[in-house]
Amino acid sequence: MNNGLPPLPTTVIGSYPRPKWLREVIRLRSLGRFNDEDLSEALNDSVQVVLRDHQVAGVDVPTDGEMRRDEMVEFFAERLGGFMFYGPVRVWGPNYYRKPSVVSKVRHGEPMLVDEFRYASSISYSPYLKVTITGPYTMADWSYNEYYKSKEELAHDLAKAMNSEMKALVESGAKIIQVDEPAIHTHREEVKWAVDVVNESIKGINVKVVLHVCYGDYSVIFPHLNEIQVDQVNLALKNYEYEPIKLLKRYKVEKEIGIGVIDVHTNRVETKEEVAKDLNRVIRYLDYLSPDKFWVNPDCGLKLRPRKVALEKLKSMVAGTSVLREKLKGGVEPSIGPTINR
Amino acid sequence: MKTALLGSFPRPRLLSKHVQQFRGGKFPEDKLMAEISRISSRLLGLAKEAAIDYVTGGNFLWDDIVDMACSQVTCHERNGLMRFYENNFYYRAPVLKGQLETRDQEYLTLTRLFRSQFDKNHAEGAKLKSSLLGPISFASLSQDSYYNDRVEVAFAYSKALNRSMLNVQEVVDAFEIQDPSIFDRRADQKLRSRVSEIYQSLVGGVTKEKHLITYFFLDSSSLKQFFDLPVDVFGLDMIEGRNKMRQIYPFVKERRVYLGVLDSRTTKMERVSSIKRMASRFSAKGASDVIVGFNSFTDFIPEIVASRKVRLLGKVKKA
Ligand SMILES: [Zn+2]
Repeated sequence: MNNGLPPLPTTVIGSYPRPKWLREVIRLRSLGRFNDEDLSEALNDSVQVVLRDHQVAGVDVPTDGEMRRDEMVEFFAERLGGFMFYGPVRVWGPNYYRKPSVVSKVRHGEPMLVDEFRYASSISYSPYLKVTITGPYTMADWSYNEYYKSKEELAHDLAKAMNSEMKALVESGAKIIQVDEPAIHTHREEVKWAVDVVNESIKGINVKVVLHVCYGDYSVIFPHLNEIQVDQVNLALKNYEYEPIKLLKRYKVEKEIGIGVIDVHTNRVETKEEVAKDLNRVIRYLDYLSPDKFWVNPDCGLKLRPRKVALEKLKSMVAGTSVLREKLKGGVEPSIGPTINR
Repeated sequence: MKTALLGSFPRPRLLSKHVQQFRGGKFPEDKLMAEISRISSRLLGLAKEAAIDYVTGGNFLWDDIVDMACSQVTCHERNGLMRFYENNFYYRAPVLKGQLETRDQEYLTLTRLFRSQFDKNHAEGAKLKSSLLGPISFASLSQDSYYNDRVEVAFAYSKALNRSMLNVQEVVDAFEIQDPSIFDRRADQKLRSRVSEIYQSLVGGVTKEKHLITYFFLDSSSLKQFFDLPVDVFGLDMIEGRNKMRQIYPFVKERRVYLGVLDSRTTKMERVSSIKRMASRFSAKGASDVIVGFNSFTDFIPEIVASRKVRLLGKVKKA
């Protein structure tokens, strides 16, 4: 094993709870009592804390916890050209988000993630830090379109913008990029072109590229997974008691599979025995894939859990994975590089 | 041509927080009602400025239309968050564990509150419209472990809702029954095929105008059945139906129609001229009354945009 990754590498999806003190700093910044420098210092400090938590848990491929992002669409819409915000929109009960409107041509200006990647990798305990980026379809689906003739046209321009960003990340040394597409399976009639725009966004990105899909009707997207030019797909599975693995097998999805073994919607911490049992079941069932194709992760980002719970969940995930690793016979060597020439 | 508001209006953040605290017993009812009165009167003021003909109070006490239905009928339990059709908007599904009964005190109280605000301040000739969730949608959106049959759920709900409508009808001028599942091809087919009987049981004894509002879907193959339902105004989502006008025209003769022409799911503003054009086409095809407004309720867009679109409706009427 020369890349240093153990069998069944463990990773996170991306987001992690912000420390309470960071939330307080953000609030004080919004009141004008702290300045940008104070905020930037606090953000950097919080990345240290997140990486430390990931290291303590024993995660092989960490992220910076997306400490700088309030929301996964908002963050990019604030930084790309062509977007504006009118105000908050309710999602349910007392929960709102700022849904952006596209009011002119989408343009990629300054890199959006390079600084955060550089900082995190300068302090990372692992050479394999993962960077997450919201995919073009989800960006389009979660925005209002006032400018383009169609959502599809908007999504293609977003794909170009995200592609420029990913190229900048690769140039600054990123080895694993995860494209988040939680919306890709929400409109059955759009999924065909959604696949095309994701492929357009990762064209020429020759590092490991992962696609994250979670929650919803997987039967909409699974038949198309092999057409998406990513190396790996990671999925929310625990939440569905692994039912969707039947679909993975039915459609013979020939990708590395990131198995979601941690439910991010509850505070109950999975036991390591439970994780090991679940993993064993999934790997045995998906017997058409060789064991080096499996990675292990939570269902989705952990940001909505209390920090203590998030850490305990990660510890269980790693401990459960270790149990199974010992059972796997030697010769399992997961890859860190790209498996497809894009 | 007339104009109308539709259902709920974007709820300010602070009010949402107070509603949640109130539901948890941590916010006083009188303070909440005062806040709702204020915000609802702001909406009614906006409607008056735009001379809207059919107005709603904004339904600010409820999280969504399903939540509102649960203030009229007993929903027993509410389950985890479910996606409201294909929107990034979620509701708690009613879990039916027993007979559906009328439970109208909260609904009646709120309707009275809207009425008193409306009576203080409205454009001449304006009418107050009360929102309801239709039986096909209620049966489709709830989880039933009592009736074991969606058709039975729809009948039981209609019966309970009918009682609620009879109780509330002296306070309102019209009812707006939102029933998008009527046109949803993915809804239970047996349920959709019984829609006429279900609606007969829903409207018995209701003397006020009944506006049936559909949105997100427009299944042209069930238009005939739709236009035969026992209601006064037939509402269609014309954003969804913009390429289906030809299929719709044959049914509108001597019918009162509601055209959802303002897209409540985009911040892009519509053109006064294209709204006028669509309305006059329907008049030319023999519709006895054309009412225009939003295609759905407006929680999907920021309040500032929803207000702008209400003002646009005002311009449509004047133009
Ligand atoms: Zn996710």
